Amino acid sequence: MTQQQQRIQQVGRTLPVQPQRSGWLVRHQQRLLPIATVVAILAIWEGLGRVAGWNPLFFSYPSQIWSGGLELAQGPLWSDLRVSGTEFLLGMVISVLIAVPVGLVMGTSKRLYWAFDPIVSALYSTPVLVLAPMLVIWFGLGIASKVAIVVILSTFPVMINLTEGVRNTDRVLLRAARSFGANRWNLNRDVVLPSVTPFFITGLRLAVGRAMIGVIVGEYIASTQGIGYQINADAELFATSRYLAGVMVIVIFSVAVMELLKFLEKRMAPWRHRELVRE
Amino acid sequence: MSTAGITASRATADGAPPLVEVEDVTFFYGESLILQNISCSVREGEFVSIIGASGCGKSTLLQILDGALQPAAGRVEVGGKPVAARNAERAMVFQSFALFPWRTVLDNVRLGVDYRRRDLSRKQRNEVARDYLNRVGLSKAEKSYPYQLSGGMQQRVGLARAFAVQPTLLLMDEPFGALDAQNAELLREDVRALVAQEQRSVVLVTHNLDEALQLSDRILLLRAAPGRVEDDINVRELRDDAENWRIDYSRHRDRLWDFLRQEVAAAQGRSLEDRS
Ligand SMILES: Nc1ncnc2c1ncn2[C@@H]1O[C@H](COP(=O)(O)OP(=O)(O)OP(=O)(O)O)[C@@H](O)[C@H]1O
Ligand SMILES: [Mg+2]
Repeated sequence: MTQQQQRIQQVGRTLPVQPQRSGWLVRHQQRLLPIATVVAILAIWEGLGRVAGWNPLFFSYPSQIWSGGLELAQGPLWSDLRVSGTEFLLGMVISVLIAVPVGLVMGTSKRLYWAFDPIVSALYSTPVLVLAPMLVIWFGLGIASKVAIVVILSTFPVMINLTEGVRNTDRVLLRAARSFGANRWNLNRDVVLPSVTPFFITGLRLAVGRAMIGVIVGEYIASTQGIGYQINADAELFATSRYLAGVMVIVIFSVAVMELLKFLEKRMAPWRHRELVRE
Repeated sequence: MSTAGITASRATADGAPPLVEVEDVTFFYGESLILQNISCSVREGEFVSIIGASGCGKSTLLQILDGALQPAAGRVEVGGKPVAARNAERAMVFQSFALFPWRTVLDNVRLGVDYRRRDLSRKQRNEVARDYLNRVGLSKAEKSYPYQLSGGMQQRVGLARAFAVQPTLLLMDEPFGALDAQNAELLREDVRALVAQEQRSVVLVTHNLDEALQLSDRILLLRAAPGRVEDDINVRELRDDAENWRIDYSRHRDRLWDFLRQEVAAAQGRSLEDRS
């Protein structure tokens, strides 16, 4: 071995060959930062509430809201959740049952699309919530009126997204499938359905948000039970801590449902998620 | 007819029976005449390239051969039968790969096998797909999804998918058009090897003159507006008869380019006229 070769070997040995690993905090910052933000806001809020001593009728802070929540949990919370949950779920199920067949058919037939799309789009973009009082007159104070409100709010986003999904099916993929011997049934199962899936989930996500508004506002307007009813009642009694605890319940529920849908999207349409990530 | 076929790497005699017969085919898109009285044929085992300016109707012709479009007039037969949408003898390779993003690589290759070989069990169909995936050197990627592969690898999947149905006629529409030069070159080698191994007949649409001259037995020159066959060049005969193919090659390439240049210029002229 020449001197030069030896030298090269030595240098090679002393170079930092191992890639640098960043610390745990740095690697998890995307997940840690939002938590830190929430904790910071809560802390400031709590401190402000304790120091300032504002009137508890108009202002509350985390520890007070927490005891308000405990109060609710020992009282009407669970039966309210059951009522609101039933309204929400029933409304969503009926919306999907209406939206899926109609949306798919409208996406498949050009004529039906031309005929009905303007109406559907118009109904989607009008705040149909203004019909809520009428639905209460029709369906009464109970669960049925809230279910009806959810249905008129949530059907259209699912329907529109399904229609667009079908219409946006990649023509080249349809051509490829046909070229390789697919029959009509194969085309629907192997091309149209998978392309529609992400659109469907997007529709569901929009529908869930609207359904939640429908339930709460419906209960606000006219009802005898439910989270929305409870919030309204507490607000009128100036039981601000309990009122805000009710709001927190809704926030937690919304976040949970949205996360569930995101998870579903990753499971059912992984290619789409990863394609977006890759860009 | 040439008798110099001995030197050819494949057993494609000029006397082989015709596999594809196109006679007086005319095609309209709505009002506009795209193809007018096109006639051509492809013999068994033959490699035919189609060259023409953009928009002259090459893809249209290929889709007619695939049974995806019906001509207004004329006769199109593959293997002695009129082409129907779901005949088993054809397979297509697409410029944009046309892979299914929600299917793994193996499931993509199995697509045509699933539809056409309903007599086979799922296990057998997987075996066929694996075999062809192996031939394009992608065995290790069978569980990957298309978006995880480079363009060159994706088109290899497209090739494996086409060859897996063991088509008598392979249709390729600018299959290397979306690839970088090096990957295109590699894929050309793959295609050449597969076509030779499997004795397939091929119709290739391409803009690349060298590709056409290197791969084909024959080149069809398509004229535009409306599409007609301008010339039918027997490259294999030229190659076999040439004393020095390298010298002749560049002469033929120049000739092809002269034709193409005129066509492209004419197409540009037409589009300017349309605008004024
Ligand atoms: N779906 C369609 N509807 C109407 N006209 C079409 C359609 N598809 C293609 N055309 C027209 O038909 C002509 C031939 O199209 P084609 O795609 O066959 O051309 P091409 O030779 O493959 O062109 P390129 O080299 O750009 O791929 C073009 O002028 C194009 O504008
Ligand atoms: Mg084309």
